Amino acid sequence: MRLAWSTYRRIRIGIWRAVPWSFMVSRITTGIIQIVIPYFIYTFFMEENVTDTFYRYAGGADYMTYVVLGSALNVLAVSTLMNIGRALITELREGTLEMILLSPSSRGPYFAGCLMEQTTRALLEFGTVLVVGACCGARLDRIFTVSSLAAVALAVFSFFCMGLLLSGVMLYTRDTYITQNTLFVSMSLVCGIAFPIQYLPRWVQCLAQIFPLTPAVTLFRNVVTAGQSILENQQLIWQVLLLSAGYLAAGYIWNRKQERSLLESIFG
Amino acid sequence: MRNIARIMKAEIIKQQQYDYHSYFVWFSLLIWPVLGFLEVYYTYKPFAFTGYLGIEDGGDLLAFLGTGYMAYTCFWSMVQNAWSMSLQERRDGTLEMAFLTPANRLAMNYGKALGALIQEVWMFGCFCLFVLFYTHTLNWKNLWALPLFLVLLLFSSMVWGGMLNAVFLYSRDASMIMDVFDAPMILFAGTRIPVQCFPLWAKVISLLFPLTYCLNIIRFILGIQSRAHNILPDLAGLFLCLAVMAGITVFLIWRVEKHNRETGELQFF
Repeated sequence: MRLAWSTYRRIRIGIWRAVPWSFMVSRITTGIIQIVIPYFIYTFFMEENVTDTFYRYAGGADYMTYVVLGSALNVLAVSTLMNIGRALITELREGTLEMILLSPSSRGPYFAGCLMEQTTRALLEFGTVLVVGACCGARLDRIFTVSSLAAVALAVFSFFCMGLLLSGVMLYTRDTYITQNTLFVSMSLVCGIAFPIQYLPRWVQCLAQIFPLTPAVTLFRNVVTAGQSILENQQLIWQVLLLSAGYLAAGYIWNRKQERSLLESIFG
Repeated sequence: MRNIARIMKAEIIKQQQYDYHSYFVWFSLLIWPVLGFLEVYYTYKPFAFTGYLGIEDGGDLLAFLGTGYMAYTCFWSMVQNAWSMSLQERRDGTLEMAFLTPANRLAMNYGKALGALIQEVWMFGCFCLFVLFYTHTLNWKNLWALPLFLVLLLFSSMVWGGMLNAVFLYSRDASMIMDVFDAPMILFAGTRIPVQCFPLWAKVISLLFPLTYCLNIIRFILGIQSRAHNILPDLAGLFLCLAVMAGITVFLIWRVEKHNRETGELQFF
């Protein structure tokens, strides 16, 4: 616990002292823009001409609510994956990875600290998206129920597990830019963020199921727009948990294996 | 003049060598735009077309989004390149070169932005093929305009990227500038939504981005969307916008050097 807390404080202080402005502004502008673009399309350009097919696919949710909930969860996914995934390679670039690998601390609390630090920031962005969304006409009155908070927590956990594997991949390829962008672009296309995935070809829909974001966002929408309790969606919960377990195991094994060769291959 | 060209060329080569080390990079450059474009296209799926502003069916929309997306990606790659390069150079400790060399500062700055040159030409090529095969907006009659578009986009995105590059020299915290300029550009410049349907305040904001004018010109020549208006105001607007930006760039480079001389060393990090 102490290790997690000190990791949290170290990263936070680093961000606060080195890049205080980017820290606040970038999160908030991206959050706002993600909502305002669909809002403009919906109101000014397409003049609210939504087809019936959409309502059928979306389970009765109106367009703005659908999009706002999707973007909000996508924001959480992107920032969790990005920060957990980049944790180790950032240490490498800043020259502190060797210290971490040589210290007696274990990786679990270290990543937990990263997660804590980053979730507090991501929630800021998540909140911005929801607030702007509410201003644009999304109906979010059920957002503060136990079920919806549980759905968000479950989603963050699954992104965290995926991020662990991602951090191994990034460290292995020594690349953040290409890996992360390819992942995020494909996720926002196939996971049903701005439009129901039923519009996509069948095989893409199947492919989308390997991302925890797909079931997580469906769960979140079921809970907030249809007012279901989280326990009514057991199948979705199982899917998220299974995927998380899979990513966690893969990430653990990979990072473990890699760490052995890392000291030698990087630092000589 | 020859000197300036040499400086720019050197900067471009430097960037290419730094960034394009594997085939994977090229692969990703093809994949991202395609995926991103598809995402935007599918965002329109829930809507029924009404023929408003000359967009009547999926084909019109594809042509509209295609031009918007291509032009935006050119601008984006310049900015992204400028940003990631200045971050890497800052880390590697080579950013202070900008002040220590006898080379022309402005030329170096634009050279840095032009590091994305090959990327842009590549993107542009992909787009042209796409438009040729899918939307039939490009035909033998307006093929002459292609090189013109390329030059137009290259030049204006270079000035745009150069300005942001000068800002990035200031502080490692300047990446917020990228967010402040980049995300609203998608919205206000009309890459995904026609500017004509915006409320007045949004139209005024859209005048600040050179991309707006570029898109208007390109769409005008290809006959997408608005057919009955004059191209001259857009050309004038673009020219004015770019001139102001170049002015800001020159001022910023001068300022930043002075700023760094006063605040200590010419070293960064």
